Amino acid sequence: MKRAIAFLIVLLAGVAGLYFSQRQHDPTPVSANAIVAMAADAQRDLSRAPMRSRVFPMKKRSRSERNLPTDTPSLRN
Amino acid sequence: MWTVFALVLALVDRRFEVEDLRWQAHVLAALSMLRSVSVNLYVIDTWHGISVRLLSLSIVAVVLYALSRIIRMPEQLRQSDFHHIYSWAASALVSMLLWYELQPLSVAVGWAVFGLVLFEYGLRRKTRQFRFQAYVALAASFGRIFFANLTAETPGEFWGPRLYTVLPITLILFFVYAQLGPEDPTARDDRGLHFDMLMAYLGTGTFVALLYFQFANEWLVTTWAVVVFALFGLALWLDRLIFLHQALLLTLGTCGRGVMHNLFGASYFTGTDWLGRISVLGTAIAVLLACLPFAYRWRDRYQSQPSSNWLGWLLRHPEQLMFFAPVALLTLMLALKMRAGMVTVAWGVEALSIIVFAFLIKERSFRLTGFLLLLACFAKMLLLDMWSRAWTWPDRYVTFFIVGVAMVSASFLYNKYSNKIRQFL
Repeated sequence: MKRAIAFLIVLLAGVAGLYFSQRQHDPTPVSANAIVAMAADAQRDLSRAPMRSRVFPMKKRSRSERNLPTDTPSLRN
Repeated sequence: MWTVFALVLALVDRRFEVEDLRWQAHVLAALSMLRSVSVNLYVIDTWHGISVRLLSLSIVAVVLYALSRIIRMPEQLRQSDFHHIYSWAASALVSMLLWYELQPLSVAVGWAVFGLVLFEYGLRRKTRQFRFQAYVALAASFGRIFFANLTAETPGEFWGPRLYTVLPITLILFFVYAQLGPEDPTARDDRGLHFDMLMAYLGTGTFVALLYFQFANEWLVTTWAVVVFALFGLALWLDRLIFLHQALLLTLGTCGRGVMHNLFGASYFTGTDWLGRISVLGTAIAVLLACLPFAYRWRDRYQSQPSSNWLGWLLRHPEQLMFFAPVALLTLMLALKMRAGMVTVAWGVEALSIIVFAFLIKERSFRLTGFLLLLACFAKMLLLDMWSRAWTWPDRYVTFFIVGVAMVSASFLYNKYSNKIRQFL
């Protein structure tokens, strides 16, 4: 009995999710953006780690500053 | 019509045992499946407001499920589950139908609900092929969220389509996992094939991915630390090793994320918001350290069991990772975020805190860590700080005083409790 109630609750939650998502009128883009965003964020963090782990002399710093974007926009929403 | 005719043929064959009719039913069912996939799936007409595709393919799917039960087959083939070719075809058809009929955002939820129904039916009827179909549907649902649901959001709203579509999937995955407990003999095959582990990992993976997209980059490390805490609680409460695996893996993930994003990931040139980041990462470290009581309870429960390799040892002693991972993160954070002249002071305070904590809980490895860190402070002062021009006189006074007090306190503690320490050694 307890199991049947739990099943019904989970099923209802799923059906409710289905109902609300079907009522969504805004178009949802289907793309691999989520995976690309995660990979891009990881790559951004990894590529900046060596930059943070050493101290740059002032002359080199200005040169690096030109090459490194100050604030890379995240692909995540 | 072809499918219904195949069903009629199968029924007649079942009643009168006409061998030819059986083969004709097989061929007709295969042809109708082919036609459904190649023609009916792309029909967009409606009949009295109802989609013709939905209507026709639903009938085909129901008949195919029925055929899987009633079609006659040699007993040897039936025992090898060959008749479930029909149920697999029907489930594939239903999944494709959901793909075409539902909105992109709903497909993952639709597959998850379908998987749940298949699983429940398979468990009640003790039919493992239905459960296997359910696992495929649930795994597909997990994969699908990365293509539509996780990036869906309503700007400015916390409760949006991302939450109300992904959370039910997480709930369904954990419900299925809960049904595969060791007390249920029906699902023994599934556990043998590690489907229970798969469901638990997919459930946690869904939730962790949801947090990744739901919260700001900076705070992700803290939210993951909270999940680690919850996983430890679940592991202890339900006595399930799988949640401990996940907690330890996510601890490594949290620390990796903290190092990569919160410490190193910030731009070298614009990363001036040190105070804010210390508080964010500090919260994550505090939450990870708060898992230690859970880890000790787990160790007390299982330390008598022998462990064959280092991984087994780690699972019997989760407190080691739960201590060293956040402490390493804290040490690195202090090294990177403190003012150059104050790093040694911060490490000295950290070392003394670790030593006092280790004496309180009587843990040798923690105590040694504290002593090593104190030694590192001393070595750093002698080899680096003393020769640095950036080390101002006020910094020197403070550093010598704090590190000196830390070393004297450590020495005092060591002498006072040396007898007890020898007992533990």
